[in-house]
Amino acid sequence: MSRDDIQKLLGGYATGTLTPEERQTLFAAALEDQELFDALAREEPLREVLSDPAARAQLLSVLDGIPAPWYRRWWRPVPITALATALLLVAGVAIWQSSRAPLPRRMAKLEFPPLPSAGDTQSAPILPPPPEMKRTAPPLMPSSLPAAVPAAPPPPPTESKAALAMDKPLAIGGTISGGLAPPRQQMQQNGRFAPSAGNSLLEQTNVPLHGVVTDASGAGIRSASVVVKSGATGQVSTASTDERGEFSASAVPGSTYQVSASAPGFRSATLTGAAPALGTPEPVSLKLDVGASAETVMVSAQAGPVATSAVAIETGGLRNAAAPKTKKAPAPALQYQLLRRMPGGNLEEVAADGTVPAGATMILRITPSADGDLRIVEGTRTIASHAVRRGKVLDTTLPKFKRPGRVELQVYFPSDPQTPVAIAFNIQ
Amino acid sequence: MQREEVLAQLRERIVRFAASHYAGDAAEDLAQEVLLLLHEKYPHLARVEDLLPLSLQIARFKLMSLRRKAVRHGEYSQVSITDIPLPDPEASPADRLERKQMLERLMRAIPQLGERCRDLMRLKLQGKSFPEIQKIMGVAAINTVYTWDHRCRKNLMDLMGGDWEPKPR
Repeated sequence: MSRDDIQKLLGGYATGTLTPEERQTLFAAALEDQELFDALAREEPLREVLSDPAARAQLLSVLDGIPAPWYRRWWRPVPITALATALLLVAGVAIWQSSRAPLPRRMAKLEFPPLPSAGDTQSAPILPPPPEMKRTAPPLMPSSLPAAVPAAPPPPPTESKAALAMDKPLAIGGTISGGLAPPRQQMQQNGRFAPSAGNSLLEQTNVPLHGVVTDASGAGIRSASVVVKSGATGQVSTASTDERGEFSASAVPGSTYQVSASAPGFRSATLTGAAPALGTPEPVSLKLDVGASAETVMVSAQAGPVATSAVAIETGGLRNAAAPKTKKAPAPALQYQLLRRMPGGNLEEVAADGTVPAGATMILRITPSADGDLRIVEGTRTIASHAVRRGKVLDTTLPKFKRPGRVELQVYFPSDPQTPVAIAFNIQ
Repeated sequence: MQREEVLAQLRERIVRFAASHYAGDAAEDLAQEVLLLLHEKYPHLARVEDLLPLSLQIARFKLMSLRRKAVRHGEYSQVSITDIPLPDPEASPADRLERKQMLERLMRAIPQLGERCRDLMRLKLQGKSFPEIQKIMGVAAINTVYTWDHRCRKNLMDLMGGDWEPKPR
């Protein structure tokens, strides 16, 4: 060892931890080297102190009482913490996996062609050809769909699509437009995809059905009453439109629904459609024409390559070509008599849809069957409003109609807008 | 190396060491007393690793006695070598006090050492040798342990004022 290396052994002299070889080397060198000997002599006081076991114990207690540096305190628990965290994660994932329901497996993808244009609806068949299903998933069937796919004939090699009016708005007779999802029954009739009624793949909670109710000009009708009735469950969901004519109701997925909208001074309209089994139905649009409450527009829309519609409009009652019958309008809340003041002051009754000369003085004699405020509206314009009492006859002079044509008036109680009375006559 | 050769070299080292603290005559007398004691009390020791530490202990004891007397009486009084026993740490209250004070200084200085130095000091106080410390600390070369200990010893000495004992006033 060099002199410098031997000098490094000094630290072991006081503590008495030198090996015999180190002691021999150090002392032999110190015997030759005065500087090393002096250094050893200066170590003697420390050696004396450390030769006392009690003193050593005190110094060790001091060393043990010094807190570990922050990085050691942080580092040491890391393996334990990481192990505990990993165990907790594994346990949590295991519990979560065992408790959750199996996720639905996507077995097939249905694609629908775009809706044909409105001009094709007249010649379209009532029912669309069955939608074809394009298989995009591996031929593995979940247990909830037994033998449905294996029993079905193989799908055509080329891409085939079922039609549904989803992309393009459905316009029917210029009065109602909307988009419908494919009925669940149609998919079942197809035979390619026939889930049972209780199939969990298609069972969902109600889905939102949004729409808008507009008048002939396309403006939204405020406070229109909207009723959505499920064809499968009979569940009824009601809503009223906001200031923009929009409403939000609910429909049962995978079943047909019937949307009815009514507003005072307008003919009520009904739309029949179907909510898709998966996803939300397209927004529907109902356009209400001015007319009496007894006038109802019935529209049934079917999903398919060519949507079909049957429209029946009748005044004073309901008639429907294919759709179920609707209930009769309630009895009017008033009786009226339209009078014309003749030259000389006499009054002459004007028959329904009668003709009066332009500028004639017209008097509307009303016998209300209830108390309240009575409102007389022409189109969207209120031309008179009176507080009436039940059984008390009210004679109100109508403004003069000088423009030839048909005049349609609506008389109703704002508190009961469902039962307006329509009065029509012609100006010559 | 023969015992006589060791004792001769020891005398030279002790005289030079004592001369750095006291006058030449006192240093010569101190060395002579140490050698006499080794000669009379420890004739059976012949190895340098036995004689040298023993001579250091005797020389320190003699130096401390001289210092105390000089401080107490203001004069130099030679201690009779026949009265000098082997150093007994518990013999003198003054020695106990000095050791206690030194221990307190150590206890204040050690916490100021770096972490590695404290680990080294802990292992040494536990009686571990340098090769054992090398294994415990996972050091490849023992020279590394020597170097670490040398630096730590110097740091500790600096923290205690440059020497283990306080400078005599």
